[in-house]
Amino acid sequence: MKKVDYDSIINQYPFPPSVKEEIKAELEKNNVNKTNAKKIVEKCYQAYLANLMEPGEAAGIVAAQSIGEPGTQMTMRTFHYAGVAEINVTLGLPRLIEILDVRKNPSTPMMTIRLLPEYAQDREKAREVANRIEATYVRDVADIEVDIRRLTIIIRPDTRVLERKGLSAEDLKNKISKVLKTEVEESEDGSFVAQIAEPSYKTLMTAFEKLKDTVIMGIKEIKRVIIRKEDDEYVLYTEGSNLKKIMKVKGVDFTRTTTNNIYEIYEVLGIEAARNAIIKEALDTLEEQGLEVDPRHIMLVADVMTADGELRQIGRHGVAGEKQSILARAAFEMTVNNLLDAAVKGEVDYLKGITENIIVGQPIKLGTGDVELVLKLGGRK
Amino acid sequence: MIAIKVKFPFEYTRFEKARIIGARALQIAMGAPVLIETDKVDPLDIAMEEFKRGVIPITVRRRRNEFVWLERYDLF
Repeated sequence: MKKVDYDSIINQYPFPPSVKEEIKAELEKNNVNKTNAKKIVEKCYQAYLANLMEPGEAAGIVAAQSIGEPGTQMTMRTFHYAGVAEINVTLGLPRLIEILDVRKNPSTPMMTIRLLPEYAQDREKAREVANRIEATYVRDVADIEVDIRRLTIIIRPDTRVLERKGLSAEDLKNKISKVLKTEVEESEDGSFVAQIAEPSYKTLMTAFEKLKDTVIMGIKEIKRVIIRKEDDEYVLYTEGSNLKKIMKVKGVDFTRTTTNNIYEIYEVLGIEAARNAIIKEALDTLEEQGLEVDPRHIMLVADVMTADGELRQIGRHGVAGEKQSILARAAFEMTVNNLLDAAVKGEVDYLKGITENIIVGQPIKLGTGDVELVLKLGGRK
Repeated sequence: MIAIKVKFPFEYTRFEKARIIGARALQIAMGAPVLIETDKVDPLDIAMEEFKRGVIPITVRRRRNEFVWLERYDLF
């Protein structure tokens, strides 16, 4: 029997991807012919429509409760050495709060970096990329000393470390002279001697401090890189995150590289990517705690946060605080201030939302309250 | 993509149904003439039967124009 192209039938209907897959798998299992397949998919579509949420239903409240109830069971346990490569990650309630508050600097930024095929298979090549990424300070590759008598800084490079990092002594020398803006001389035993431009103890010490914290290689934010073999490729996990710079590093497959810093994703990849990141991070956080929340509730939250093209937090400075209704804002926080400000500005409340209508004692626009009845002429059939 | 014949929502939602039956039951309770032959006494029961037979002279106005309706089903 000729194989039937189920995809072309299913794709005529607006199913979500997961439903499409499920129908396709079932059709293939039973090897349905084309006419029957069409009928089945049509029936599925009817069932799908019947299961959609009805207009007027309190989707937001259902979502809030569905996330809130499991949330009460979340432990306050913040830190956890994730099975993934001993990197410290914030989890549980604090992490969920972080996601919904859209913190610009999460407490434990982390990246998952996947590599291009030619780098992903070879451990040495992966190590090479890791070296390019990980922040290497001068103090990591050399001993730094101050010669107070001659007012010089003596740098003794550790050749073994330099070699492992893939750096030459020449690179180090150039970098040092660039940072200190002075000539660096090489002495017989291989150490560098830097003379300070202005001979004073204070400048010497500032130069010394500056040199210690100079990044000679890698990206400043990436504090640690761990290489792990996952299935048949090497994956890098980092402590610290800088998506923009990492994406430019040679050997990194930027299509499969992510960070857990949602704001960074928003800045680099845009609002849709940020929405997906919110959904993924929130679901992962809940799942890690063994709580099962339907993704659609989280999706609604993510939609509300990203609806007007920029990331808005749930709370005072975002969704709740920017409501157009004065009464709704006053009901949320700082009642007197909100009312006073609104009065000064001469704002008008159109009583379109739920909160306002409850405050003034009107039926709310939800469920049966949202139905507008009209007379139907024509009568008896 | 084929043209979708039925536009969602194609029937009365459960809220609309409740509201229509409720309004009709109130009318009957206050003495409005019943539009069907029935032995029932409770106005709510009468209203529900009227709804089932489709004789209630009430319908709903949907505020379609006040919303942006997603016609692009591929965005689901």
